[in-house]
Amino acid sequence: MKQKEGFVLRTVCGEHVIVGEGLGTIDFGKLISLNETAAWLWKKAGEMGDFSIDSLTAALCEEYEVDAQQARNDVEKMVAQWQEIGIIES
Amino acid sequence: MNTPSDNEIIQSAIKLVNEGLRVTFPVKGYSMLPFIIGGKESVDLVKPEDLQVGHVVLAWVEGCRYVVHRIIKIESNQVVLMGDGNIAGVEHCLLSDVAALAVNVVTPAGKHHDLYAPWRIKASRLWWRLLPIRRWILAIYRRTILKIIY
Repeated sequence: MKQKEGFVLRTVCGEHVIVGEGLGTIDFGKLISLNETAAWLWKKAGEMGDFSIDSLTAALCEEYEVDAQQARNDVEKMVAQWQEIGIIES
Repeated sequence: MNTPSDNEIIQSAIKLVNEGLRVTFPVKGYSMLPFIIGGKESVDLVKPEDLQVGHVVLAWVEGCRYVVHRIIKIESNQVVLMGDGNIAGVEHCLLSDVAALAVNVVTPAGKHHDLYAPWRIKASRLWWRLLPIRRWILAIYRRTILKIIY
């Protein structure tokens, strides 16, 4: 999987949000708010370029002291949400 | 998570506009009817340059609030604004208080329409001349066309 082009992590009003910047436009009607961990995962996925549930889970476990199964569940949930809103592609 | 206030969100949008980005921003209220339908449509905001009478702008007015209204007069650095959907009342600000220029109106379906297409400019000038009877036209518009469109 990889992130679709044009979706950038920004801080708006102190919150982490993913904004669609296609053609240089940011739509304030379509901001995707993220918590700290989700923002970190998005950044990591961007750095990886091509990522998978396994690679993100491994990265999450390296960064945070978290149970592997719990980390996997969180990553699966997050990735499913990204897929649902269409900001990543296979 | 604290919900940011409207002003905080607007200021974030202005910051991005100042970085040279185009920001699509939802508009509230009916003060720009019939050209912008608040609650349904948005506007594309860009850095304000070469401001003229007739431009729709996001401005900090009367030192207390932001509005997206049309410029009806510019004298030196003084700007007078009025909402197309208002029948009376104007707002004042300085040129430096104009934070962004609206260039497009964006429909809920995501279509971007040029706010300064020749027919829209003509329509807005005609609308200005209809100020004395706007009240009745707007009343009919809100009860009929507005309900059909959205």
